Amino acid sequence: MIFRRVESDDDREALLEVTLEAAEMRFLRKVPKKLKDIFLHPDRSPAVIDRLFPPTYDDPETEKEHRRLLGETLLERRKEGLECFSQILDRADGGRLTASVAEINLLLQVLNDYRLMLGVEMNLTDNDWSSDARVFFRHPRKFAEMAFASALQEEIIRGCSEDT
Amino acid sequence: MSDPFAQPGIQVIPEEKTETQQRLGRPWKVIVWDDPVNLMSYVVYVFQTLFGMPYEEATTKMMEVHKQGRSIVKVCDREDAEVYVEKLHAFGLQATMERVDE
Repeated sequence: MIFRRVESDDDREALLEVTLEAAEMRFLRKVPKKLKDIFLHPDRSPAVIDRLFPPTYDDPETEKEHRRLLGETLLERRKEGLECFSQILDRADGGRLTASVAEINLLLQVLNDYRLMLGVEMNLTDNDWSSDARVFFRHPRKFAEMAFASALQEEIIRGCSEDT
Repeated sequence: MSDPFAQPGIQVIPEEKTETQQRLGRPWKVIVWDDPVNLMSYVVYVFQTLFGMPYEEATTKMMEVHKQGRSIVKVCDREDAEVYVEKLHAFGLQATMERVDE
């Protein structure tokens, strides 16, 4: 993945040109599909939903009211985020696309949701899970996906930090 | 210091707040909790992006989360705290809000 700052027409927001390798693009394309399935059927993956929508208040009654007022809206926003994520990738020409910092942040958020989903599915509870061979042997495919997603996330952050 | 807008013969008495008003007016703290999945660099990036923290401050806050299990990243009024928590959740961080103790 290569990042380069580009001049915007109106100077109002920073734009970044991102060049993705084929494997990176393939991986990113499948991220929204899996998350969309979870958001469309939240009752099928309650643990993932709980992690992606954690409580705001400690007090159960206040939290219940907060959920009642905002729960659906938050879920809809996440679904819209997935649509935007796919639309940003659709703009890529030969793996190269131009995106605003806000759009890059959306890519990061969705990619992180995917990582959190993998974390729940692998039942990660310890900070040192990445050096725990048992996690790898229990979930080799998910572990590999997590490693790839983490590397992508690190590269995006590095690219944003250097060019903004 | 004299009040240049004071009218002769009119004494302005400061409004005393009821206990409920004082309670509602107390600020809220936004707390970020440790999580085994979020990358350290990602948490630093989110703190910089949402709170405009310089890199060093964001790193200190992230380490506080990592080592102590939580860190207070903002103290503000309730409405702003709800917005911050919502944004932190959108980035996938575990965050809650609670009223500042008296």
